[in-house]
Amino acid sequence: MMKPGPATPHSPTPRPSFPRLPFLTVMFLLILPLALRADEPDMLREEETTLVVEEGEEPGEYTLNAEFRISHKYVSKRSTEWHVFAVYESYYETVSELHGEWGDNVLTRRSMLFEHGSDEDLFISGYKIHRLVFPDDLDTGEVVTYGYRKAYRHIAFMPVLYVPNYDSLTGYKVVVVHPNDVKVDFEFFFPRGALPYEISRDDDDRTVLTFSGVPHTPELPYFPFNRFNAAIQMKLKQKDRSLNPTTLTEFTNWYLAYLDTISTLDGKHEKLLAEEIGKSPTKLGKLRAIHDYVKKTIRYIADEGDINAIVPRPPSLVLDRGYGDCKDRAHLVTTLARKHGVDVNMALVSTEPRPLFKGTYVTEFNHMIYAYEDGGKTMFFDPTHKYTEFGNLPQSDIGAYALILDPRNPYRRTIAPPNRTPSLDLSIGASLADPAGGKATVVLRNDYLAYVRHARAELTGLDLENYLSNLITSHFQKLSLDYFTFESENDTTITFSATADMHEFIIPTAAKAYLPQMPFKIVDAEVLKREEDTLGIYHDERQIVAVRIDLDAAGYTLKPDAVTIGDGAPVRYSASAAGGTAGKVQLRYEMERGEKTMGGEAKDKYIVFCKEFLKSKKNMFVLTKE
Amino acid sequence: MNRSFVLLLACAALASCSGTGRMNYLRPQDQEAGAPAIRDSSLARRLNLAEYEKKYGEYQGVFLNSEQIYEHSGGSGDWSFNRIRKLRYLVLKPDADWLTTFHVEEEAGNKLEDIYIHVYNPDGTARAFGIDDLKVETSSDRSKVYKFAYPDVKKGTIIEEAYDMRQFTYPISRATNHDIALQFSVPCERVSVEYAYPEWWRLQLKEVGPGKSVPYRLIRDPENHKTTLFYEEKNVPPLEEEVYSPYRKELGRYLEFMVTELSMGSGLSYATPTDWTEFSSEFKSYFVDKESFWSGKVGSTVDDVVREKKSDLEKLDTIVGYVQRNVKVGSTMVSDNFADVLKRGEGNWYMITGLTRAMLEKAGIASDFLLIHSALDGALDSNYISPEQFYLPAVGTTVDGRFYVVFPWIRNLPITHIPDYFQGQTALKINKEGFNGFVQVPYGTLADNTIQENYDLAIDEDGNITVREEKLLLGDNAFSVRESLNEMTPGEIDKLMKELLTYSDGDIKVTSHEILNRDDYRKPLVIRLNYTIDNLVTVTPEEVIFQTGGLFSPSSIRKMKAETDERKNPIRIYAEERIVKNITIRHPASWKLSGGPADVAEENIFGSIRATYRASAGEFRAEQERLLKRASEPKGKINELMAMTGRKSRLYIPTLVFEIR
Repeated sequence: MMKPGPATPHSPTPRPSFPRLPFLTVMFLLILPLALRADEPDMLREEETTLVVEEGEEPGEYTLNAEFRISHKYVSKRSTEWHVFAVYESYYETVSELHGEWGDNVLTRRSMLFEHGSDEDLFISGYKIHRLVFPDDLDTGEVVTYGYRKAYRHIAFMPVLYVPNYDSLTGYKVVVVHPNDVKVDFEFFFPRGALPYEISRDDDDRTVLTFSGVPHTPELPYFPFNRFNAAIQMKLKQKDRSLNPTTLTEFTNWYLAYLDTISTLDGKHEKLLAEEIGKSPTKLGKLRAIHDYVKKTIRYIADEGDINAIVPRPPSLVLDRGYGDCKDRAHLVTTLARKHGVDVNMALVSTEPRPLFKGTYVTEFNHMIYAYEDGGKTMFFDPTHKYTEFGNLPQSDIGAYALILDPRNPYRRTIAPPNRTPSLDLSIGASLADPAGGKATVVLRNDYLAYVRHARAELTGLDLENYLSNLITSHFQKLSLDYFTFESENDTTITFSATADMHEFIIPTAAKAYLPQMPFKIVDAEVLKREEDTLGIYHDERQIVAVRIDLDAAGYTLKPDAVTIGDGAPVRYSASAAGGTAGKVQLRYEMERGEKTMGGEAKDKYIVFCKEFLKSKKNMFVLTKE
Repeated sequence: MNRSFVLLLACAALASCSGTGRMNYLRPQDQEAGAPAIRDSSLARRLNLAEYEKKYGEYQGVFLNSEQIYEHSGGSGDWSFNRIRKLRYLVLKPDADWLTTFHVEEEAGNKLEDIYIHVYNPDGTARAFGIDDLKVETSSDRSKVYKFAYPDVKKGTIIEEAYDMRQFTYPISRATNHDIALQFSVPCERVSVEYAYPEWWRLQLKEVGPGKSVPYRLIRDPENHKTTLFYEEKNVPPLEEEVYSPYRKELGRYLEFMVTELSMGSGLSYATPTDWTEFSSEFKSYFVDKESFWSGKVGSTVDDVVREKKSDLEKLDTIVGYVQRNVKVGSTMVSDNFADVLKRGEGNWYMITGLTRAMLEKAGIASDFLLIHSALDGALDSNYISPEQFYLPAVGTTVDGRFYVVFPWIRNLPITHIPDYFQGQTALKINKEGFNGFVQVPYGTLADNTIQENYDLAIDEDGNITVREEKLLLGDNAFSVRESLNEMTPGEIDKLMKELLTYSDGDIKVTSHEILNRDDYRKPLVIRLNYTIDNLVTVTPEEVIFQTGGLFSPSSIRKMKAETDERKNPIRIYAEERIVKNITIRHPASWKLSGGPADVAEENIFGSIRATYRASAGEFRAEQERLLKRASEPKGKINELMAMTGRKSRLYIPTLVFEIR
């Protein structure tokens, strides 16, 4: 109960943990308990969901309720240890009538627990976890069944359902009970190829979707959709009228209606930043003043209680409190910018891959930023990332498929990287005669700049030193940098000097010295497991690194050499060694993987690149003693 | 029981024993609830922030004042136990969530009776908040979490948070045993603890080291029949977390005490045991004298289990292994006897331990029920008669002149293995007669804490490498890997095997792997891996460069720098450990090792590293060993430790070069 202090106040981590930017608290993954992923079936699972759509009290209003029923049959002894099942209750639903049975027994209330969700990044999580605790001495062959009801806040929260990737899913059925004049259409997202299904509309008021015998698919590395085999979106229509918003326009109108209920800036904050904004002649300049103010003065604290899981708080309240989450910040910037004549729109993104449909759905997004149109080009800005400079974006945003909430014309864009400058730009001066005594200049940009700014704000002394050393040398196999000294900083870069120990990098022999052509740890051989399938490969960050080594190689002659692998789409690596004057040798290494997701031809090229890169790791530049 | 009864009579004779009023509140009783007014809003503005930054700039904040007040009040039927917590601190890094938010848990049975929060900003403004401003999350067990995010926090903001929590007094130990941390993760300018109790109660403080007590004073208030234990300290440094440090309670300041005699009116009285004999007798009645009068289940099971076993050591091993495999840790009813535990295959850890002791006795092996003190609980005070010092059960027995401490409630733990926080600690012995003295838990042996790795590499003319790798794990390493394996699917085991590979740089193709002695935990766990690597050897017309890819690694998991001048804590290594690598590299006979590595033999107070290298026609052999000794040394010796364990170990050989003849 005492203020505990940070869990590990001074232990360095490879990177400071940034807020994960909750926009919506319930991620779709939470809905799926962890599958056991055995090669042989551990459990047989069957699921049935009944969604009931009914006319509400007001004309044209509809309500949504659901009943879920899941059964597990234990096949292996090991699986019997899984006897606690979780049910998630989000801000937009109320769970009731939880029950569980096995054999002739039923779960008592004492075996049905609940707690509020906790997440490192969420101060108030806004969701509950119910746990159904079955006895821990169940045996193979036994079946546990549990179920519950959900009442949804609004029909707009019609859930996207997931067919889980269990070792054996014997049946999966969705029944939608609806008024006679309502039609239900299904849209599917199959991450690994279509599964057979049946849709029955035998009754006017009942639509049934059935999957039977869905096999388990093995987990793949660098693939984001291992936990389910299908995602299902349901679209309800009454004649031409949509009951749940799924098109971009429907969704945007529905969402922005919530914003109409929020008060705008009050008198106290009317003149906020007026002087600074007034000094800037350009709209982008005004936007920058607002963006930087919000970024620096509003602390990141996420209170996702109730509808504030998706709806921002009033801008004046956020300013008064001095804290807010991503949507609070994006909305505050948008409000201030519009007040000063800069037309920006909030934009919803997911920082992790999510199932995509033709339209959209509430739980698609987990983050909010904002967008600005400049000469027909859409620029994105993220005021949540305190240490990322204006105009740049964190890796987590890049590549995301954003929905720009323009009330006149909502649209989607894939967020392009704002620049292609190296995040890590390393220059080393060293000598063959003293390989351990090299001097390095480290220039960091983009996310690395943000990481280090964050680390400098929170760490000192040895912790900061270890952090920097791990961050940078984790890319290399044979370079060791130590004793970092801060040199300079501007808006887009931070520069350190450091010592560079090259004694592993330079391999001296009696007559020669060898220098590796591939000293990077940037390709994981696990990627090659993805050679046979046709699915995309997903990395959670792009990678652009450049290294230049100026080597005093007096007494040696270099055999100039250069190697290039890949053409830049999607990946390119180059290394070269060239001789200068008076025994100087210059080595240059550049690596660029500009995309996070690679599919189709790009994936094939990436696999070829990885193979060639790994195979070439033994290649060396050669210096011969004169 | 008799003591308690006597105490009850004694208290009944004293009119003043009927109860005491409450003396301490969070704020004056005539003040209204809710957010209280702020008397001086300039608190943060008056503070010399620059000076604090200079002094404490490396920390996220500074605790200016930490107060905890505990008070027992009331009497028969209305015993109240309240804890008042007041904390005032300066925020130096406003991004530190834990300093800019409030979070307090009200456990089921407790009650948050009052709270206020003041936020003082450097511009001289201040805001007050009360219970209505907090968010509440309630769980199914009726526990609650109260939360609040402080508004408008900046560098230099001072926060004052204070609350009064009424504590549940059942079981009574919750209200009578206390362990209060006096040191935090940030510096603290003043820390105080007050513990107010009826004057007829008795308290005992635990010594925090041999003959070393926490300084305190008793303030007596005869008018209100109250006594207050008062502790105060100024300028308390933070408790740092560093590798190779002693455990927190061996290192940090804490106040541990218990109420030894208690009475609340005529309805409730309580006294702790006055010596270890009395202490042991309760354990004896609950967990030693639990044989069934009617059932012969324990005896017949022992007969079945040890029928083929000749020696006492075999019998010990067999019985402990049988209990570990067949009785899981779970609940026990007070009426259960050992036969019930055997039949149900479930019992609490004390009953499982008692059952094992009884089974050994039936097998003719004399043993004691042990309660072991853990190093995690700090120093042992032999005069502090409390289960807080001895609560971890084991069985102790001497077989063939060796004293064994075995843990029948830990599945798959060999009888030779003792977790390091028990090694060298004191154990209390209980047998059928009750208290049977103390014994020192033996230290582990190197044989129990060794990793041996054998490598056989064949490199062909083209530089392709075929590796046979064998890892022999003992002790902790074998135990934890076996436990993991038991939870894994075959696919997950495949993945683990790849993670265990020594090579970190190469393009590796695993051709086969096998695990030996996986279920026979008496033997070393052996993991064999066969794999090929085709990108670590560069063959030129004149020379061959073998990038060893971690084969000759520093034999250390520690990759961090640890400068002597920044080390805060003394150095502690609890258990000896040894890592041995035997490497044979077979290569074409036309290759000759060029300038091979020199033998290494280094030794200091923390251990030794040793390496011998021998090259012959077509073969290179290496033997490397790192031995770490049990040690307790001052922080100034850190460089010597790093010489053994650091990332720049002399055992590391990044490259081997061969000439081609």
